[in-house]
Amino acid sequence: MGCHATLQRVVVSAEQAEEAALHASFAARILAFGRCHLRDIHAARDLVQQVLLIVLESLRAGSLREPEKLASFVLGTCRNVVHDWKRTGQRRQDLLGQHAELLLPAPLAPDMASLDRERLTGCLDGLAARERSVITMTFYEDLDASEVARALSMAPGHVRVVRHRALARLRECMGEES
Amino acid sequence: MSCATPLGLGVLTAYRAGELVAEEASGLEEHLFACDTCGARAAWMEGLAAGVTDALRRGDALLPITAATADRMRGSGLTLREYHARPGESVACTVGADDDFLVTYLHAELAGVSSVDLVVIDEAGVERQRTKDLPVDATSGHVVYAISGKHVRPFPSTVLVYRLETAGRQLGDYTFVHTAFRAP
Repeated sequence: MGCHATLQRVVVSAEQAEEAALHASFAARILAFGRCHLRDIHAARDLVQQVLLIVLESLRAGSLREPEKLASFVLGTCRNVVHDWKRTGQRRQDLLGQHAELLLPAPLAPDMASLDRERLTGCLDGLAARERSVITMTFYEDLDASEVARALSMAPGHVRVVRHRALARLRECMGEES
Repeated sequence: MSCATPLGLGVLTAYRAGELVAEEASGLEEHLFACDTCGARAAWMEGLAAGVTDALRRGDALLPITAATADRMRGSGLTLREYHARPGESVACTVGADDDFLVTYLHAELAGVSSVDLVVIDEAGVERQRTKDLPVDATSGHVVYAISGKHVRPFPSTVLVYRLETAGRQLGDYTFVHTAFRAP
């Protein structure tokens, strides 16, 4: 009994490690894909959950014949899911009904949210006023360059220049390679 | 592992915002999903998006926003204390324990103006701070900015004049009579 329980714990632990590794590798990329194609952060987060579930199931079922093509498989799954959602209008509710026990309990972005918040605060404070405004509207409000341009009476091209400059300054300030 | 052709911040931001044409986006995706270096860049951007609200709330710098941004902030559960001021007016203001941001709407004749400087002048008439190139909110027609409550709570009671200028021309003076925060 003791061995069985121990083995169960090892198996569960290995599965959790597998989930965490998959999440760490692909969650941000899937989220970016979702933001691009769905234009809604909540839908994009649902996409992360659904794609990772599908990929995990496929991996455990041995359906992925060429493990070295995992990245391509993840991208293909993103495209298929978004296509299905747009075609049918269905989303997370169906998935929850089928796979509730598999849903990842971890917060969506433990690895994505690992920026040093104190340092980020100082770095944002160091931007010029207009740069701070563009960054806020881009990353807090999820506005694209045209939307920011309309709001601030700027040309879209100017918004992109300011945005790019602000990001480069932030990355340098945060100690990241630009 | 490094990347021979890393995705630039500009193009990655444009991709996230849905600004690329389909062919460009598709090509970028192929690279992004296959490249761990660029995947890490995407993760950095998501970290920035996740952290920006908290960082702004902790920050000390004046944050130019729009009325729509303020609506979004309010809707997301942030507590805003808001003041409207017109040229020549005196506004009584303070900050509460739960205020995440103080949001100020400066009304002025801003037709054709897309950029202003904001000058803060103390009771002795000395210029204390000048913030250059604040954008104007095209929809509301005001200059709108937020300051974190955390930054304002240590302020003593004071009177400050905020002056809007553009191209060397004064647009208006706004007097704020601030009462210091008192902890409950």
